[in-house]
Amino acid sequence: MNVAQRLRQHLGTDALPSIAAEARPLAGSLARDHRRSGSAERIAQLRAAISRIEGLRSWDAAGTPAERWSALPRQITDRRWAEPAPIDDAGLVYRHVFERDTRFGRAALEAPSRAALHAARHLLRAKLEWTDGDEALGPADLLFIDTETTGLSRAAGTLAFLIGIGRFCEQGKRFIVDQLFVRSPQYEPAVLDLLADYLARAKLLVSFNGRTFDMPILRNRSLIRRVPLLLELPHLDLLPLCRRLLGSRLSNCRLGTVERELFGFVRQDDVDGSLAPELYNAFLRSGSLAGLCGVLEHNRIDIASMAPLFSELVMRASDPLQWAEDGEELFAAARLHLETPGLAERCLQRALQLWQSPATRRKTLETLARLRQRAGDRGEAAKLWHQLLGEFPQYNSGYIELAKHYEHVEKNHAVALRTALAAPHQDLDELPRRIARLQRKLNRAGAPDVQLPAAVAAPRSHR
Amino acid sequence: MTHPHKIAVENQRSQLAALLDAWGNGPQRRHFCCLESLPARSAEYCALPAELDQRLVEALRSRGITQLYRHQAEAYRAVQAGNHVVIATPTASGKTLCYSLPVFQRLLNEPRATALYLFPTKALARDQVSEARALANAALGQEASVGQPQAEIGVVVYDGDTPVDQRRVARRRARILATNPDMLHTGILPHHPAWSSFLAGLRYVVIDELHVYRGVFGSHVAHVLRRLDRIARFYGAAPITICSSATIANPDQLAERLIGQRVVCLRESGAPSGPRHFWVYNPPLVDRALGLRQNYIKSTCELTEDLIAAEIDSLVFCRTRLAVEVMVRQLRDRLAAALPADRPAELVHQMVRGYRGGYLPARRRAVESGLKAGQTQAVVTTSALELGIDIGNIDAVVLAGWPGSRAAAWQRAGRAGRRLNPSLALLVASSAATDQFVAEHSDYLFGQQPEHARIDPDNASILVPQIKCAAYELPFARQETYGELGAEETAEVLDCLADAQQLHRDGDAFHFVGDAFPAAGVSLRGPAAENFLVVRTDNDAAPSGSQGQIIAEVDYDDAPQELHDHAIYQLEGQQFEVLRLDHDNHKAFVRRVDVDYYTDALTQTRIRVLRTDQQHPRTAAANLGEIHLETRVTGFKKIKHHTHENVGFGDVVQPERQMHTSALWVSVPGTQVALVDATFAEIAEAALGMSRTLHTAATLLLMGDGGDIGRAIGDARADWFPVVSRGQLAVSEPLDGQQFSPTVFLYDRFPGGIGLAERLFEDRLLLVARAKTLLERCGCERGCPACIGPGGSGRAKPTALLLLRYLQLALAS
Repeated sequence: MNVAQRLRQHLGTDALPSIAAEARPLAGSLARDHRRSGSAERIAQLRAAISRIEGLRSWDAAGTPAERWSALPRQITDRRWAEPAPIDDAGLVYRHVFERDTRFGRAALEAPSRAALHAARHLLRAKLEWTDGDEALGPADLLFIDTETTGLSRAAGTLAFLIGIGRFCEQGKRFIVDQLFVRSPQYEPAVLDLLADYLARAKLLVSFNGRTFDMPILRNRSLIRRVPLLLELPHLDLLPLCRRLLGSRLSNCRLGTVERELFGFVRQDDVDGSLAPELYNAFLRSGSLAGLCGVLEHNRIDIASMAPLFSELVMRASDPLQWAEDGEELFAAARLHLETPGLAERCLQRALQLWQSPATRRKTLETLARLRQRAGDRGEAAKLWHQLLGEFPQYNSGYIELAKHYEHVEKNHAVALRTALAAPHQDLDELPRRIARLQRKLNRAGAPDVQLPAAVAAPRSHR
Repeated sequence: MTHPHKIAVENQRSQLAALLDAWGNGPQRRHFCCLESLPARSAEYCALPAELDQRLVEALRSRGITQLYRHQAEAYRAVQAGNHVVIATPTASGKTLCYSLPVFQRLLNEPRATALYLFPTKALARDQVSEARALANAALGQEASVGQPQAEIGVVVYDGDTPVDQRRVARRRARILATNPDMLHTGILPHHPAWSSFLAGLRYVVIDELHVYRGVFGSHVAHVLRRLDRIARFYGAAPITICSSATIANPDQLAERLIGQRVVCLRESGAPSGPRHFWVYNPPLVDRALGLRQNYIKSTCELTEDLIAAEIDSLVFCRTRLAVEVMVRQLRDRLAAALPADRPAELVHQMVRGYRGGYLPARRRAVESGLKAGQTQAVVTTSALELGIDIGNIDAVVLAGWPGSRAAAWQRAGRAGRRLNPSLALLVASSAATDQFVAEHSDYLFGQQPEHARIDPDNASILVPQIKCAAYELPFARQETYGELGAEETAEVLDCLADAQQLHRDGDAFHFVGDAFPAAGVSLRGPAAENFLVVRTDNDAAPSGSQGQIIAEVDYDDAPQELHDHAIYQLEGQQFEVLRLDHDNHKAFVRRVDVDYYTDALTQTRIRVLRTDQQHPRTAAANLGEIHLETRVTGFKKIKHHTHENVGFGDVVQPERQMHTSALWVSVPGTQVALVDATFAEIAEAALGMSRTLHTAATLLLMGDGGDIGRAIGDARADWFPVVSRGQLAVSEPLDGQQFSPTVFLYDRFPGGIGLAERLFEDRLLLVARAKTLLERCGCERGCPACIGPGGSGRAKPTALLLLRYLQLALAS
């Protein structure tokens, strides 16, 4: 008996042609299965064998097509979906045109302003992604991208079955979303070829979590299907930016939440992205697009709402003094501008006057102090460290920085030692060594031993 | 890799000769038996291949190597000729060089070439890369001074312990990548695009310790290697596989099934060896009437003491960790008693060290360095030292008890023999029947082949998930071949999986489309449960008074027997009493005690049939179904140190270990058993023997490893299961007024089953017939390791044969 025969026997049947027809009832080919009697029994055995091997009940075991359909979430089954028509002969591209006035809550879908495009370039330059600084960037150079995949793993086998691409056309009058659909795995190379054309025409990729998810998956697939893709374009991932600027204010940083809490836009009947793998599988077996219409719509909105989010975030990031709403955001924005210390310091100063959580307030003071230090203004820096310790007397590093200041700038070893001894955690960092060194210096200078922790409160007196 | 230097160690030579002479002519001479004396063998050298890179030649020279042993040169030539090669020469014959030579030759001359080294365990990978690193440094160190630009040869370990932030660096730097099959399976192959440049350059795959890959584990690894080959070919590479194996009967056959390719096998070693002696010591009878012999651990201690006195470095292999602990303690006690009062006791501690799995790494390293530095004269160990962890070789190896197989005995004995010195391997037989059998049948060890290692990659329960993993990594083309499967067969398997909706058939290709990550759900070694930690909680253990101090780890499987409440846990001769076993958190809390006994657990396995899927028509003598298995320690015996008398019993209340799996069970009809003229206990004993024979036959039939299949006995209907202590029937209370229908369960030792029992049921007639033939043809008188197991009463073997005949009859109808 060869392996295949044994396998068939193991799976409980040697009559697979009929099984094939029966096990895929959605394919509609039921003609062959009546040639042998008892096929239903064998099918049951086959399924049992597989589910035993799998150790779990597969979705297919859920019964008839009707039963499977009703097992799907209500928002898919209750709605009558208009099946879209592809725009190309191969049936791989679905197109949706958004007019300029389309609204997502408070936000309108309009081309990013020159200021926003300038801001985006500035952000990318800071990350060394944009080198040819003088090249102008127009709305049509942006490529918004988001994929739907067969899983959340970034390993080789995850397939991006739907690649949504958004572009501004006609001087920003329209926003066109083209959705490249792998309608069966054999079309993946063709879809990747199409994607390559889009990429070749773009100057900047915009995504939401694309840097760590969509791009690695596309890179894998490009390698596996041997279709070269130009994926190393400058890329602005809105998720980390959003998390940084608004993370403290939003309930979470999922795109749906951001739309709701930032724009007041609530999606209707949105299909949860996590259902996509299952729905795609169902589509492959049934050939009916109905179940996937919700996924297409979800992907379309993901892309379109990224456009206003792009403008919003880059503006907030580039001009925080005008846009920021609280001290948290100002602090986060300031950290994006550390290479422009003047702006960063103005943001931080302003941030101290607005609402901040204690932790952020502490970090704001510390960043300010360090920026002053870097600018050479040690006196102001010391003042800021004193202010910090006045408010946060448990912050060890503050004592260390101040002790350094007294030791090296003011050369006042006694105060330096007193400051070091006041730190709440004496055994941390290089404190023990610093204290020993200061003791030595003092002893050499003939000064009496400084009293141990009694003199703790010294730094606070400056408040 | 070190070549022999003709250092005259006359002293050493005469020490061993004198000791053997003393043993052979002394008062104990009747108890010694020389099984085999192999004469010294001189080395067969070959010159270094002429085309060898000069940098490599220099690097080898700096490490003292100027010529090769014949098998090393042959291996090099075979690899250069494009063959897949297996090297199956004895322990310590320089196998590492067989693969590092072609690998380095290639890597030095092809900047993008890479090699993958596969080791069965993480510890071994880490141990072995240091050698590869040293060679890489030696070869490239000189080259740097010449000033040629040259890609470095990064030697990288990539396994579950590699920190996440170092993995990216590993992927970029690795030219020799050392890993294990599990990591290859889940961490590398499914992420192959990240490894594309490494895989595109892959020229060699080195599989060390080939013989470990047997049974279900080996079958899975065979698929992992097929998947590696597919992906390598995708990136345009066609790597050559070089395997090294311990002595087994069929290294070539195993390698061919494992990698699915023809191999060239080299078995003849050209390495020199001194004269080797293989002796057996069968301890004297202390009670002739009861057939009781002096305890073998005591005997081993005495003999090891002789070896230490003669200044012969020794390695003592014990069968269990418990035995290691007992022996370390007793040896130290004896040596301390003999020590002059002014010598520090610490010296004794250094002289005798324990070394076993479960020791924390720092302790293990201390033992290794003590041995290398010469402060340590005897190391007592378990199989932890069996896999090539390098501590150098030793003059004498003592096997305290039969290690269970000829292959294991040879592997361990191979540790003896330093350069051209004479060496000794000494087996000390325990009273266990297997040992007595080996001691009395001197041809058992040398007259026959070592055991076979077998795998069955075509087992559907392994094939199905593995094909899915492969399809996940790269879609299958219809005309593709896979391992030993030709294009047609592969397509048939794929079609079959597509019909079962496991794969998506699309034109001429098969895709895995699903949101699950298939490799994550497939464990190569079965479910690996976490080890138990032994935590010392008495006052002097933890100065900070915190949670206590972790002193050792115990395998999940051994924990119930070794760590039950009131068990005495021994660690390098110190005793700890288990205060409480915390099953949920995998911890045992112990306190230091000083008592003169140790404990032996009593175990009972109970089986409940959950569902009978198939039944032999009419007689129901064979069944296939799902069972619920409960193994529980019911109590323990206290055994006194030194005298080994039983000084008490204790009860244990412990949650049982449970497993739900598939099983085949066969029952001898009670009506027929009633006709057998034997007591209940004799029949139970025969049933236990029969289960062993059936287990052996099943292992052969499945081309598997004995460890993959479990066995247990009971009664067909009644709720009767025996209590077993160390493999022997301990308690067998008769069934009251019921007909006894002895039943043997053979089950998959993988939760949920893995299809082994199913195949046994299909072939049940063959299984029973083979077991019967095996028993009939076995030449032993009263049972031996090859049939029902030794140690039974004289009636066990004929009764077991009778039971098998009745069974065959019941199945024939």
